[in-house]
Parts: sequence; structure tokens; C-alpha cells
Amino acid sequence: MLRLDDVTVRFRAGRGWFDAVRGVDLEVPPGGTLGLVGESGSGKSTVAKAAAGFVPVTAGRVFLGDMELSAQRGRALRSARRRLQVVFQDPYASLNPRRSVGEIITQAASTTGRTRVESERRTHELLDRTGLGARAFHRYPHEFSGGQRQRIAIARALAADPEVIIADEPTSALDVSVQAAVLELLRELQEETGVSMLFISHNLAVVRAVAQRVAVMYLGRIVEIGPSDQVFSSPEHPYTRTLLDAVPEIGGRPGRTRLALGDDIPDPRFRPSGCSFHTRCPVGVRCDPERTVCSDEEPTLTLGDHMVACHFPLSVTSRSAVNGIE
Amino acid sequence: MTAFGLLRTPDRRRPLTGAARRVARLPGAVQIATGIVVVLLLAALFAPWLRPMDTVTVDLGARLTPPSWSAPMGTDTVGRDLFTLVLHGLRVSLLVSAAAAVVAALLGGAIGGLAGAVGGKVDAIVMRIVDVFAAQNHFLFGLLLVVLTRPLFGSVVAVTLSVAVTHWVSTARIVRSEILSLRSRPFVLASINAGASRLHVARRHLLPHVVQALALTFVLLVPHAIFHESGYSFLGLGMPPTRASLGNLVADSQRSLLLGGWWATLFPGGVLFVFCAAVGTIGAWGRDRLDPRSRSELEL
Repeated sequence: MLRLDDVTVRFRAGRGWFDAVRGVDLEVPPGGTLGLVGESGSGKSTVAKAAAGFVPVTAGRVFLGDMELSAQRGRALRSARRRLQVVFQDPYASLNPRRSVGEIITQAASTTGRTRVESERRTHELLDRTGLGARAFHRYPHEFSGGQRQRIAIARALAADPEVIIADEPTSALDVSVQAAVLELLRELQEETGVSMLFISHNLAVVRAVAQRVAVMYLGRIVEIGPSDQVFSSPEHPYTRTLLDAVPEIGGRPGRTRLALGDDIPDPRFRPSGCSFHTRCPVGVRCDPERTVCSDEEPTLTLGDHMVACHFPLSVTSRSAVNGIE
Repeated sequence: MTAFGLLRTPDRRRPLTGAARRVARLPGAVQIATGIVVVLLLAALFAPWLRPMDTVTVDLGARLTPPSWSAPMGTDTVGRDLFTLVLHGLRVSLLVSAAAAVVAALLGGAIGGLAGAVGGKVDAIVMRIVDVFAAQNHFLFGLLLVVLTRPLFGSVVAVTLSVAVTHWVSTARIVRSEILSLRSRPFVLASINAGASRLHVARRHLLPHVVQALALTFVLLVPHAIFHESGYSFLGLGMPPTRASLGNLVADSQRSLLLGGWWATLFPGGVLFVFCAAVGTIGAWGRDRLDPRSRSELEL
């Protein structure tokens, strides 16, 4: 459905340049959900913006079905954009405070070529479906809570009858108590409409709950991608493992080996040599001086269903070796 | 009455409606300022009916008489009624400064809007021109413009133009930065994402926000413009002596002051000060309400 082909996004930083996203290949399965996880600064949101055309793609291509989205300009781009809708992170910023909820959603609905009456009927349907009720039509965004606003944003995204929805951290600005309800709504709506979804989050539990496949990003690159149950139960990349191990657990086995990260994510302007992760990796050259390949050569993604970009993936490195390093 | 009844404190005042309720909710200082502005505006508007202007009659028998019932602000050195002069002076000052503020706000809005909406090279070039204007001393530059254009257009237009030309800069900067920040706000992106055209974005998202900023710069410009107009008149470069303006009156009153006529300075100067302070108070309140920092919390 939505496919990113070797996408690179380069930003200006002062006098220099840096790659926020570097050679990323992604494919969102039709009717399915691809989760995208990573730390702050790993390039998740830039992937979303590039896919939606909010930032220009420096190299590579973005496809929506058979159409190359990244090559569209002007009028063609406008009509193509309808097919890919974005739900933004902050529902307080993504709704114009001066327009009524009805106006906001009706405008999105009318881009599909509906008449005014049809658009308004569609808006009422969506208000009803998202649990906001018909009374919301004439009210303004400030009269709603964060969770309700996010429902409005979801209704707006669906109003354009998109084929793909990009949800950029749609629940991270919400209270925990309403996160689950919003996620559940997204999942139900996906089932009803068959829309594909690129779901971006730094919350592993959330991604696990909604995504069939998951991609892990680090410093603008995909380091691991595969079916979510496999990635979460037996991560191959040490970075994925450290992310999972960082999640606190109630009633976890005592004495279980947990891998931990040192430091913060490096500055993308000064990307480490070789494998970008080697400066923080708990199994690479930082812990085993003989593994010089980590700082010399950049690993590429393996082939297959569950792919990993690591010189020493965890299933190859024996468990005892991991334990020995600690 | 029982304690229970006391707790309920029935509100016997007639419930206020619409605009009245909105005014009642304003801070006290803003209410007073609004009152002053309204009274002075009405006074200026109805000046010809309140006190018909008589510039010809000179009553040398009534030179520099202190305030009295027939002349509440006294008379000047040639016996003209100061109250009449102040009313008409206020009228001229307000007219010139409001016209100047309108022209400056429109000019600045158009130029800033162009720079912000088009961006890129146009933005860079336009904003460097803005810098050139901003680098000038307002007053001296305006003075030069008055001197150059007065023979061509007459005093009223010359003063209006000079104030407008020296004051559109801040409006242009405010409007440009407003548009730049709006263009990257998620709700604008979301609208573009939903297939909105440039025109739709400009009309539905940019304009309503910019109009608010424009209205505020207009209010803040008015007292500024009054000061400039009065300053030019004070220096003898503004309104002609036959046409009273607040600046003229203050300038003329220098001589009266030496002769002991304090009222000739106090009243025109006082009206000038009170009006500017009142408009400034309203403007400052509006600016606080619109403070971009209080809104930036809502951004991604």
C-alpha cells in the first residue's frame, strides 16, 4: 500500500547537513499496521513527514499503491494527498481553534468530491462512530478534552476516505486512561474500513498491541524489522533488546539478564563510523575489543521476513556470550 | 435568613448580556481606559456641535483668563476658548493618527504577509528592505518626509504619510512571523493533508489569525502616531496654525506658561497624555492576551 523505497531525508544544520533519515525501506501491508519504534531523535517522525510530503525527500521514492507520491506536484499532489491522512501527536495543535468541529471534518470529507450535503452527512456519521455525538458538530475544539480532540482528528483523517493513515504518536499526548480507548477506536475503524496504518510510537507496549509488523529505527536507519510477535519475543538486534529490557516489568523473573544502554543517542550530525550503534552497543566492539568490524563496517539488513542490520545478531551470539559480557 | 440561604447568595443584579457581560469581565484598568477612549472619541466626533469652532474672532479683552464656567479650560493669549480648541485639536490629531495607523497596518500587513506567504528569496529581500526602514530614526526620517511632501499634498496628508511610512515596519515583522509560525502548525499541515488549496489555507487558517494580530498592531500604533503628529506640530512642521491640533496647542502655550497661564499647557497636554495612556493600556492588555509564548505551549 504505502511503500518507502530507499528514502533519505537530509536537513540543513547551520552550515552543514545531516541525514535525519537514511536509506529507509518500509512497506505498510494493505489493511494491516506497521509499527515504527525508536528513541527521540531516531527519525520516526521525519519518516512520517516525508511519507506525507510535508518535508521533501532528498533521495529515494515514496509510493502509494502504484503511484509515486514523491513525484507528484501541484494539483496532482493535492488530490493524491487525500489518500494518505495523518493523525498528529498533539490534538491541541492539530485542530484550528477558530473552526468548528463540523467545519473541520466536513472540509476533509468534501475533498473526495462529495457535495456539501453528502459531506455533512458523512461528518455526522463519523461523529457518531467516534463517539462524539451529533452535538459536537457546532462546537469548537477548545470545548473538548484531549482524548475527544484526538477522536476529532481521527474522524477528520477518515473523512477523506484514505487508503493509509499515518498515526504519529497519536496517544503520547493523552492521559493513560484514555490512551486505550483511542487505540481501540483506531483498531475498530481499521477493521471496518480496511485502511492501512503506519503507527509511530516510542511506546513498545502500544506498538505491540496494534501492529502486525514492527520496524525499529536508530539514528535514521532501520535496524530491525519483522512480525511484531517475533521482534518482541526474540529480538535480533541488541538495540531492540535494550529497548525491551528498559521496560519495567511487574513480576518479572528475578536475576534475568537485562541489557542496558549507555549514554544518549549520538548527535546525527556526527554519525559514528561503521555501525551507528557501536558507541552504545552492549555486545559490540565497546565490550569485546576483537569485534573491530562494528566500528569499521556498516551492517546491512539481512534478507527474509525478520530482518536485522547487525554484525552479531543475538540469535547467533549465544546467550552465554551475552551474559559473559555483562 | 438561615445559614443555608446565605450560602446560596442569590444574585439580584440583572444578568448582563452579550457585549456588556464581556466588558464586565475585563480588568478594571482596561474598563477605565475603554471609558476614557469612548468619551474622548465621542467628544472629538461631536466637537462641531458641542462647541462650534470660531477661528476668526479674537477677543483681546479676554486674553489668558483662567478656567471659568463659560470657558472651562480658560482662554489662550489671544482670547480664544481653549475648550473649543482642545476639542477640535483632538479631532484633527485623532483623524491624522488613525489614518496613519490604518495605512501603516495595511502596508505592513500586505508586505509582511507577502514575505511570510511566499517565503524564500522574496522573503529574504523584502525583510532586508524592512531592516533598512527599521534602522532609521523614526522621528527624523518622518520629519524629512513631512518637509519633502508638505508642499505637494498639504499638511494633513504629509503628516499621515510620514507616520505611516515610518511605522509599517513593526506590523510587517509581526505579520510575517505570525504567518511563518502558522504555516508549520499541525492544523495547517492537517488541512493541506486533507487536500486544502492554497487559497483555502490562506482564507480559513492564516487570515483569521493574522487579522487579530493586525488589529492589535493598529491599536498600539494609534498613540504612537498621535505622539508623532503632536511632535511635528510642536516643531511647527505639522498642522498649520489655523488648524488646531493637540501638538499645536501645546507648542503655542509655551508663551502663555511664561505669562502664568498654566491651563493653556495643562489641558491640551493632559488630554494628549490621558488619551495615549488609555489606548496604550488597552493595547498592552490585548498584547498579553495574544502573547505568542502562551500559545507556543500548544505547539508540537
